[in-house]
Amino acid sequence: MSTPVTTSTLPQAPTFEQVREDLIRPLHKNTFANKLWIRFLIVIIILGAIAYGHQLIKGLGVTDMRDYSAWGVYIANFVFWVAVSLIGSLISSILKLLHQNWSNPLSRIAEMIALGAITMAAASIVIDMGRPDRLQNVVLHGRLQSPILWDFFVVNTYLVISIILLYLPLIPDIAILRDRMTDSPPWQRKLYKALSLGWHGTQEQWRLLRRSMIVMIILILPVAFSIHTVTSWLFAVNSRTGWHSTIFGPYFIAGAFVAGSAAVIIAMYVFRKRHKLQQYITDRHFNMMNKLLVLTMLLYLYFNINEYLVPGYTWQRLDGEHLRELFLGHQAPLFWLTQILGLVAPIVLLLFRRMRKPLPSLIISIFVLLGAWMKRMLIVIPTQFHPEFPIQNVPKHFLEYIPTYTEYVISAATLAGAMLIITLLVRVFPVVPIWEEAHDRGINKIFKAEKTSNIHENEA
Amino acid sequence: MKMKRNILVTAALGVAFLYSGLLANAQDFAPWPVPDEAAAVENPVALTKESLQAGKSLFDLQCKACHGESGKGDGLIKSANLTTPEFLAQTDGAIHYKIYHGRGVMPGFSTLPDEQLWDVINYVRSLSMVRDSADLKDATISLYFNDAEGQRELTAKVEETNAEGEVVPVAGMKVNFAVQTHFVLGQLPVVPADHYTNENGMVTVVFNDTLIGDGEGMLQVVASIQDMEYKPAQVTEAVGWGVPNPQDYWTERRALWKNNDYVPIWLLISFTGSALAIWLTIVYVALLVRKIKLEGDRYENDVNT
Repeated sequence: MSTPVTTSTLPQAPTFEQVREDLIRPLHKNTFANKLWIRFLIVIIILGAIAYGHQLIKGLGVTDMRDYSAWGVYIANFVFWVAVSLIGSLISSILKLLHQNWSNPLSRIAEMIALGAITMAAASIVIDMGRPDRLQNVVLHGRLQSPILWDFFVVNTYLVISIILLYLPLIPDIAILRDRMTDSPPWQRKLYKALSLGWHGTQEQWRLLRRSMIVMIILILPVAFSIHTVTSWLFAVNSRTGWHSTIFGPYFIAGAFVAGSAAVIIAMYVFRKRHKLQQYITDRHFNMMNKLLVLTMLLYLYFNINEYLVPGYTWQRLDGEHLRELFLGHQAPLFWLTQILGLVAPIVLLLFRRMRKPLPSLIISIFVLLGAWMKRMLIVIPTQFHPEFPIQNVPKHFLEYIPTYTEYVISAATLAGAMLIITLLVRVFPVVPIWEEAHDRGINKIFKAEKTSNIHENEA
Repeated sequence: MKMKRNILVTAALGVAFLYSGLLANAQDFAPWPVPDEAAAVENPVALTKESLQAGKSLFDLQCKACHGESGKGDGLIKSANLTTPEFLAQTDGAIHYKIYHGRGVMPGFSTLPDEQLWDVINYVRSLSMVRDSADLKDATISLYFNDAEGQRELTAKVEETNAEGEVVPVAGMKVNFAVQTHFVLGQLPVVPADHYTNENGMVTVVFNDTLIGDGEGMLQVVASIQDMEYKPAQVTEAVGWGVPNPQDYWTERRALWKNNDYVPIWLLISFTGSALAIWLTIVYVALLVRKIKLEGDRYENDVNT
């Protein structure tokens, strides 16, 4: 936040006004393509709502979840969304605390993705409930000993923190929008006026904002780590092959940073293209983000080796059964495809500078993100077919889990929901923080209220 | 009005259809032919209170698990309903033949004394007799512990209030003695044989003092009556006649697998502590944000004036 980065990647040094106008230009017009995109997302969400209505009325029998696989694609989605949401903490908190200023223009993208993802994580849990009308019982009759209750608490807390962490750095930008976006519809101007909190950049306001941001940046770290650790404990505390593992917490967190970094790279590519932000989201940012992705993937690979090699070495009893299924059996094609295309190949490819350019890295990131989702399916589902106590007298088809159309449509709707949240956010807010960008370039002109704040000091 | 009646008629038909379906389901056992000479055998045991009580003891032991307490076939496995008109239309001889020989999962009881089978038949028939609880008489039961001569004895006394309003003893009443087990409704019978009250309404049995009690050796002893003429009654008294259980009482300790009333202290403190710390920090930031707003208002005031 403090030291300005070199501007050598830029052709010429732009003025503050240029930066400001570049970054708010996309907000001025709602393009036809954007309208179409929003409608498309809404259609998918409506289809999902219809499918969900069907599920509510008929019950969870419309899914393929049965006695063995009591958790299916919804829980895999939940873990996936929680994972993606963790990127907000990585970029906005860890990198900032490490003074990695190159990531500043990406922090808002990361925070928006985090908000969209954590909202859908919460939604996925409700979707997985047969009786969502009894949700309040989790609080009213929940056991403090149950990781489910911890999860409920920490998901909601992280949702609130994500909103605050997105909002705080937005305040000065919203003030700019309030002053500059005078041609926007009345609701939008009212929104800017209300959310800008009468921001005029006085010294006192900067001091308060700095302090609250630092507090939030530090607070989000333990919460982010606990949300995904608790999510992993939902599995790990069960005495089950494939879940009962001591490294599940860090394993999940490393995997989360992989998924989130890939999501950010995809979003960077899209917004850079659509909002013509080539000057602000540069090849250097892609280069750095991809290096970060490789770093997190190497960490994740390390945990993967630990997770599979140790039980694989003994290859005994249920562990052996489970791993045989995963490595050589029914799940093997999916497992190796996920591990190779979603993890090993991207690591190798991204070692080459050319692959860290925008387009190649977009394609690689799509594979990584798809792999991340598949991996959640492979963590959640196959292990359930190797319980310590086999279930007796169940029909044959209970012994495999194939998601139904209802489950796929609802899952697609959560994806559309997350993308709609992000789309609507970038519709009204600049995707690159204006004041931070100006500050990093050393051309910040938002400290305009020096004089007035001096008056306050004199009064005091 | 008309529509309402239509709905009612439809509903009634629907219920009737469902019910007939259920009945058909309950009756889907293949016919069980009985030789004529077996069906013609008459029940030599008279329908007496003693016979019914003996029949009940045997029924509880051998029949209840499958046929259910009420004999309706609602026990652990699918079994015949012993209260249907079709069942009751059979002769005692036919029922005797079936109990004696058995069929499929229904075992034969040819090894039991014949008299006991007839007792059970009497009891099974009594299951479908309409008994209005208002017709049953009230009896009270009380329980005494005697530890005088080195031998521990339980004495139960059964009494009723007669038409003149006097409390009189009930003689010939079978009394069941049991101790309460850990399960809420569980009772462990402690005196295997049947015991009946004498002319003073009293029955005394020797207590088996090898039973394991709680940490202090306390037992909850239950004496109860269940009779054709009287409403069921029972009395529970605590007595320290059990062997003290040296077992560690984990049911009273805090643990991860217990309910919310037994949350481990370390968990309670660490969870609520961190939850509180996080949310107080969020509130602190919210207050800072509010200050930003107040500062903005002040600035705008200054500029305007």
